[in-house]
Amino acid sequence: MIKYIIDRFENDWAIIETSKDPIITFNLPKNLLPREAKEGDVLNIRFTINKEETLKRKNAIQIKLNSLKKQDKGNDITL
Amino acid sequence: MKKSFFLFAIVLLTCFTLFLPIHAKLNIYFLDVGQGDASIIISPTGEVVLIDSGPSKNVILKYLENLKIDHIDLVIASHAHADHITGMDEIIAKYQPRAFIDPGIAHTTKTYESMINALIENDVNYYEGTSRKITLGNIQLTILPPAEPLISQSELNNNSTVIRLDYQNFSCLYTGDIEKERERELCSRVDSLLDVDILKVPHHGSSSSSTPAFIKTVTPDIAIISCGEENSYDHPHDEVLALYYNLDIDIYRTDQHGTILVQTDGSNYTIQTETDAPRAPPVKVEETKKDVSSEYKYAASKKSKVFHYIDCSSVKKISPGNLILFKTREEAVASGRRPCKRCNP
Repeated sequence: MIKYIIDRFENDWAIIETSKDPIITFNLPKNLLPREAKEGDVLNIRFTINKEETLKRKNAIQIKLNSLKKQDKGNDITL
Repeated sequence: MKKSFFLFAIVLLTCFTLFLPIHAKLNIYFLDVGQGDASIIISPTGEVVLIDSGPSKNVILKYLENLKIDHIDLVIASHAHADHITGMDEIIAKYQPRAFIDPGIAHTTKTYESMINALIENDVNYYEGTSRKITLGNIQLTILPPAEPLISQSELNNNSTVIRLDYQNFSCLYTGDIEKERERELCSRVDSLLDVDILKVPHHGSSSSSTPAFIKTVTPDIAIISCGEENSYDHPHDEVLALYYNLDIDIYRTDQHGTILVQTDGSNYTIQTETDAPRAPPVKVEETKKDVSSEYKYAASKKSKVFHYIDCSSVKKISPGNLILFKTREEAVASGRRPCKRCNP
């Protein structure tokens, strides 16, 4: 199981390094981490997909895009 | 009297020669916006098109201000990823473009939603990137959409708005972030429209794109890569650089050359860059995979202007993806690099 280790902090970012080869480093906003997090700490990271919220955003934004598409007559454009 | 008329004529002539070239020419800027795409087209008759706005609101707004852009006629978003459309909301509100085009495929991010909100709030004429021609003064843009929206892992990239720009005998192709699948689709359907002078290389020079078949159909003289210095994705990828290089296509990169300006009168064109980056040949992919210690004596990072002896401590810090090797000192010098001050090769 890959572990995520805080290598260092740079300004508002925490630089995270993975524990297995090939080592991958990536930045996380510091304010996403617990306040007491310090360099060398091993983080529990587990991502899940919020399907309900994804669908909600998809639908809401699609409605807005559709309202724009309605005015398009498919014609050539001269500006 | 005669003398003053002569003087007047000279002043008039000077004014004309000073201003005529700017206005009689098409100016295309490929802006150095970091890791993203943004390009401004100014037609010979003064119409302005913005294709993508890059990854930073402040950077693009500053460019528009510095170039003294006081109006934008058309905004095109190649696709909905944030490295192409950040700051679009403010640009739309500030410049009130007369028309806006995107692929018509929604995204769920706040950046995309803000762009759509701005289009609605500012009552901008919205057009989907379907097959159509756009005439702006004496330049023409042709949208080359996919026959059907491509559905794959890279749905947004592959459905990027692809645009051919024509001004008399000059042509340029904008490709957004299209990948192999879309390149194949373009070659099979509209190959006669792909042959252009200048290609905006797809997807920042990623190996997801620039298939040999596509590049050989486009056969550009110049390839423009829009990417950020030392970006996390190692764009442009070595195999892509090698492909263009081997086909004798000149490469210009915003990470090395800064902003790139193409100027054309419709038959000839010139290219001006912010910095004079060396045009080093790209690392040959197959050579880096061999055990090289015996043949190669010098090394450099592709991101650095310094070369080293291969056993210099600095070489160990270069990531394999960025390592360039040279057999001779001459080769290293010819790449435009200077010797390391520590190992003094």
